[in-house]
Amino acid sequence: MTGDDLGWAAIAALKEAGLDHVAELLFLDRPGPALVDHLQGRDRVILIDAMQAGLVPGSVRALSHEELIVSAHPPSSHDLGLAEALALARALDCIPAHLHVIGIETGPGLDGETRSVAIRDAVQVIQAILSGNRSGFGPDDAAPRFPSQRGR
Amino acid sequence: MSENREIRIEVPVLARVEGEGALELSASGGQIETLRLRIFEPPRYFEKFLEGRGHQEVLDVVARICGICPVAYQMTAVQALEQAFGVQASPWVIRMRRLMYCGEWLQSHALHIHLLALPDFLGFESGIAMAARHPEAVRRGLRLQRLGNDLIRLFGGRSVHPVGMRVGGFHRAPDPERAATLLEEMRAALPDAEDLVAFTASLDLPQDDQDFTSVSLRHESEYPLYSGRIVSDRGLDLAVEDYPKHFQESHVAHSTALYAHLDGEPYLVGPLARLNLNHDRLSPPARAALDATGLQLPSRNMFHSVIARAVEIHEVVLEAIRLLESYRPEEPAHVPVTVGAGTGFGATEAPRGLLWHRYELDAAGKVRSAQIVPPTSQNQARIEDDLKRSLEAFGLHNDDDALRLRGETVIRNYDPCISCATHFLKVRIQRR
Repeated sequence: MTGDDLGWAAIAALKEAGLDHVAELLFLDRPGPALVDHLQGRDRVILIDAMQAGLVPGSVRALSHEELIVSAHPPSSHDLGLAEALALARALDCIPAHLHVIGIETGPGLDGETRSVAIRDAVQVIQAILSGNRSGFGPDDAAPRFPSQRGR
Repeated sequence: MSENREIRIEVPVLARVEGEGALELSASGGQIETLRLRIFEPPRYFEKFLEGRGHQEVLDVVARICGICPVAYQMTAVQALEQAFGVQASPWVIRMRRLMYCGEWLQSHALHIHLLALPDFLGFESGIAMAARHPEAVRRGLRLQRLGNDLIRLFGGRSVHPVGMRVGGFHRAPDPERAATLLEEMRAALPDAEDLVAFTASLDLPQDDQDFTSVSLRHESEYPLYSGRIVSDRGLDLAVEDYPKHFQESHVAHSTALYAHLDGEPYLVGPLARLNLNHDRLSPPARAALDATGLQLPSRNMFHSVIARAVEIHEVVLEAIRLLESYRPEEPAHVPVTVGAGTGFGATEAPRGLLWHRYELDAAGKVRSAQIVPPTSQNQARIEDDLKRSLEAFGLHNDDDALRLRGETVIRNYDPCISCATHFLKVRIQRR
């Protein structure tokens, strides 16, 4: 799907911005249940993924992992997405103490410029988290603010 | 509850299987009158998509048929394309393809046993619900599944829709250091694989012996993954290209997937069929672990499929260790390919069973026609037959919820992939 790589694009942009010295940046290709392995033993994790939530393409949102888990359905072998993997991680007691989930809306209206702006917005949000201005990553536990508030 | 009452069961959504389908059942006087595994997922037309494509595109296209068994589709297609071009892959390439295929069996079987099948046998709604009570079992499944994906990634660059294969071999040989690391991880996983055989054999599985025909590949010396002749336990013994002489695909009104029959009769492909026909080809350690369970083969109990999958996990971990121990990179990792017109056939054992391909190519190496027969299509008639016998043996006096759960358990036991066959299951129950 067009824009399914927005999470990867954001990670690439973070790397380009030199944030691989601040955090371990991983590209995960449809990890399914293997996401549990990556969460195991971690205290602070930011997950970045493309999403389809009915927002304007390019919108960047912080998602509650608890809400995602509620939306999980019994997985099939081929259909074990982020919500199901997080539900499995919770059942196995390996949800990190500080877990941020950042979604970037994709969809048919995602043109090149919108995509660039969305990735820039996501990078700003993640930079703020990493610099200690977001819950669990520093002294400021204020809720994340997003530079783009499209689709509200 | 009387079993003579009139029953109509429809399961509109079957969980823990892949794809979109439904189960419809009606019974009267203690007998099942109609039973349909209704598959309504739209056809995916992969065979038509392939027409006119260059041979270089085929492996990338067929990998998209399935996110769980893309390697099976690639392996089968590459065999057929090489036969069409008169290419003989090197012994090194054949060994490496077998090694890569071990990864796919490992990840697919580990996921099915631990997250899809075990909840049925341990009494949970899902693998997620089961994980809180049986975390070690689920963790074992995740470890084995990850290891299988790592092995696919070693050759294919990624575990979903890998890109490392090409006609004639591989684009490059895996890095020896990564192979050595994986060898150590495989050795460390061996106790998990051994334990799993005993664990699945200790499950309280339903006893329901049925008469069915097992079909699989059979290799002259190896447990069949990548190659062999097509055999059955009723005396069939065919070269791969002779498959259409005995196996027929047909449409039925209630399914968008084709049904396949062997000389007009349903048949079984998959782990239990393979084990029934090839247990003498297991490596000595896998054979010893199987013998220790006391399982008598051939088995007529479809619920022994979960044990068969565990045995096959043990076998592929052992096989991967053997192949990785002797691993040396070869460059180039492929033999030269001269494109020309021709027809080729391929057959391998996907995790879910026999997978058969046929391609006709023109002088430029473009696909004129393609035929792909996936395992789930071949098992559909057997699943319907099994459902009828299983539910009657289970007892139609049971209430609707119990009948529905048993029906879903029977279907999940095949690990069907309706997406491959076309997706899966919705069940509705009605009593008259």
